[in-house]
Amino acid sequence: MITTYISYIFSLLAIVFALSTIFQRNPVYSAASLIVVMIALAVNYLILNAEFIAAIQVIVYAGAIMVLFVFVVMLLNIKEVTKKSEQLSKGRLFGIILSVLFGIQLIVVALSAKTIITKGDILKYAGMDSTRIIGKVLFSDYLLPFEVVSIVLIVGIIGAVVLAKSKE
Amino acid sequence: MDFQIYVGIILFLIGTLGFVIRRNIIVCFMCIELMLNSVNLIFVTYSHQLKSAIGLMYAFIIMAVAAAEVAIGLAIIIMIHRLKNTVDMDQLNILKG
Amino acid sequence: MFNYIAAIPLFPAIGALINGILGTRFPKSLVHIIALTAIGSSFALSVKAFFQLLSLPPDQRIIEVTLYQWMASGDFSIDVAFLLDPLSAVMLLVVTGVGFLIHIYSTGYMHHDPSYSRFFTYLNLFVFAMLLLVMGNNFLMMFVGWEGVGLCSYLLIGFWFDDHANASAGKKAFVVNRVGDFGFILGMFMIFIIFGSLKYSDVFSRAESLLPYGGIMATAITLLLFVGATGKSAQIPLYVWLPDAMAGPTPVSALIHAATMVTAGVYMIARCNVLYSLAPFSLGVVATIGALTAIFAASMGLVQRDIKKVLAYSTISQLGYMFLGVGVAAYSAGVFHLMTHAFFKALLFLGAGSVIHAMGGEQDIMNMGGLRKHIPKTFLTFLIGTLAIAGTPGLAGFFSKDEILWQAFSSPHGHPLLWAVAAVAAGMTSFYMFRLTFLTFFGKERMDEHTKHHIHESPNSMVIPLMILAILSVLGGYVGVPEALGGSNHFHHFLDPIIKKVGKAEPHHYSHALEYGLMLTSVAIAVVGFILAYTMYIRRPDLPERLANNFQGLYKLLFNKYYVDEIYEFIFVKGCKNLGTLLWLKFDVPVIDGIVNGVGKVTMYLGENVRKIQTGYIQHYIVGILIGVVVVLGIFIF
Repeated sequence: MITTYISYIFSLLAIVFALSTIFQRNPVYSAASLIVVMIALAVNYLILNAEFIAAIQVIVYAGAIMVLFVFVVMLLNIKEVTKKSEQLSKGRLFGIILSVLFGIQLIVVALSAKTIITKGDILKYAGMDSTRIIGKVLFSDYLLPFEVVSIVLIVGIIGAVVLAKSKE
Repeated sequence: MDFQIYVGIILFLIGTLGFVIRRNIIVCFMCIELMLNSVNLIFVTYSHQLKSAIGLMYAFIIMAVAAAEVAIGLAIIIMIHRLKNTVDMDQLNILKG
Repeated sequence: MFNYIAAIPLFPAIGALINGILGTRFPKSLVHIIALTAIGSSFALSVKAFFQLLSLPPDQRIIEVTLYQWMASGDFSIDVAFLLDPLSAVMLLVVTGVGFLIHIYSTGYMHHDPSYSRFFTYLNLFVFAMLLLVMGNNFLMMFVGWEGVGLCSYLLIGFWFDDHANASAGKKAFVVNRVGDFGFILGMFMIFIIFGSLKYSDVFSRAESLLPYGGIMATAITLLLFVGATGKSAQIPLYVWLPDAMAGPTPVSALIHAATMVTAGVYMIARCNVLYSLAPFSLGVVATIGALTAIFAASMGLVQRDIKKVLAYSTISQLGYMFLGVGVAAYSAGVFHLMTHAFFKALLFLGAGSVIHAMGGEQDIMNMGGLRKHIPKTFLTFLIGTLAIAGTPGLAGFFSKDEILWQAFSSPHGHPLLWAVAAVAAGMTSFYMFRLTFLTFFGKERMDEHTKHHIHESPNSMVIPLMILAILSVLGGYVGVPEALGGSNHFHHFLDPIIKKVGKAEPHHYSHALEYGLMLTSVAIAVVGFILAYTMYIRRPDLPERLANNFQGLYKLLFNKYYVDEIYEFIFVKGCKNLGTLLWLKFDVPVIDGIVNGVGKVTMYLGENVRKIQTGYIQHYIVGILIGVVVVLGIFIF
């Protein structure tokens, strides 16, 4: 019961700060707002019984990725975009309308979705908490994606190093 | 926990809007991250609802991939900044034609 | 199975092939040895085939030799097969025999021509095609031969193609022929539709059961086939190519345009006698056109000045006689006249060639005269030919022409009016042939000194064929002496098996006295023609000119061939050209070129405009993605 309220509050928080992300002038403020969104989402994950994911969210997303963002923002020394305020050209307006349309469609789809109770495989792991479940599943059924992800990460590392190297 | 899905959709919508509106590349990139996060939320919600481990797996892998993507994306942005000395998207039309 | 009959058309084909490919490297003697051997062998084999046929009883005189199946598609199948029966045996003998003599003649006539081997190649090729025509056992083989002789006619008329006029004459012959062939093809289609086969044996045996007497099917088929015949055999309205065809070498005129190719139409009708007997209307058309052509062409021949042109109009006129003969269902009479005509017309043409050779190329008879002292052998043979064609009693032409005239009068399909027209034409024939003879060989010598010096008799290679043909012109008629005169008409009985008796028309039984009377009338008319020519050209040479001046309009009309060529040129040639130009400008250029160019223009336009989608801005691309997603989701939702 109380978890429901907490999830309401933090969801609201997430939405508000998401709006703040997109509407702030200063990119650092945007980054900061995004961090708050992520932490709010992490709380939601906790309430949804996905503790591992919540932990990963805070550590990886909020802790590493957003820090990277802030680094780059600072590095590039971005001045605020003061000249001609975000012009709402025709293209942009069209994009906005389209996105709203898209959102409405998604909501319609979600509304009409009927939940099918399948024989979820969590029953196999009844009684364990999510971390243990993820651990077991990761190294048995989903071993291949796991290995592939490791390759992706290596590619990411090498790519970032190669790209950002200066030209000498 | 049904309403989490709508939260996810709204977050995704905000992310798209932000992407279309903002002129700063880095903020656009952040909106992409926002979209990814909203998708994660929906996955976890459904995992909880359907009592399946697949959703958690997806969320996990998405996060890993997002990390790699951010690394490379930011590297590219730095290179663009070196080239054009700007992060204004309206000035990046080299691939025109 | 390879019967010797199949070798008959094969030899000329091989001869044409060898001479065609290697002929220019051979010396002239080798060329003509090959060609003469080829056609000589064909003639020998034809004689053998004829005797083999004679050895069989009359109702079994049919030999069919199938070489191989040419094509088969669905229920349509055609074999390359040859049919030997009395009709084709007669045609074989005529084609190969007269052809052989003309080949010999050509060795002398064309001796100085640089394209010697080409000439003999084409001659052999022609004989091959003609043999296919007369020996085929189905309509398609006949048509292959039909087209083949048309092609060879074109090649040979335009033999000296450096002169543009000769090439045009060849072209005219081919095109006019083609118009007729269109009718022939349509006739063949109809035959196939009704009978399901093109083989003679299939068609003719079932004709009576499948075609109602006098019905529209039979009439249509026969009329269409006849259109082809008017083109090939130079009848009204498609005769205009034959006078122009005199531009070719004289042996060509003799072989193709006198003895063989132009008789293909007559052969065709004789072969299809069943179909024609079932369509009395078509028979009437054939007879009428034949009679009209006879008198029409004879009238034009009265005033011509070129020796070959007179003979050309004479050929058209005599062909009219042959069609008159088959048109009154006297098929054997028509074929009989075909045979005798081959003899004396070939003789006349070769004789004319001899005269031209002697005169060093001069062809205008007004520049000749008194040649009988200089070239006596040519004169003698030419005179025999003239007597034959005029219908002098006892010579070949008398029997055949008289039989046609008698049948025109007495046959159930005949009519006294037809007889009258034909008789008048006979008188004209006698007149213009004797005119030709008198102006060329008698009278004052009108040529210049230089030419007179060079007049010489032709070499033996040219004279001997003339003499052989003269003998044939005299004796050839005796195979067909009618019963009225005491003969037994072997020719008619020989051809009888191939003529199927059809229909309900009962032959009238006239007395022999009537036949004698008509015979005497035609002889009298011929004599009148002779006397008229004698008066005008020997006794009183000033008379022709005075007549021409008094009747200037008529003279000009006849001399200019009734302006038919000009009328055709105006209506058809100019009409087609204008139509073509109109279609080109109004339809081809704007519509078709427009469509093709338009496709290119549309592509360019699309390319230039679609490329504007790639702006380079990522946000625009995202918007594009969003459009797609929204649309797809929209479709799924609804």
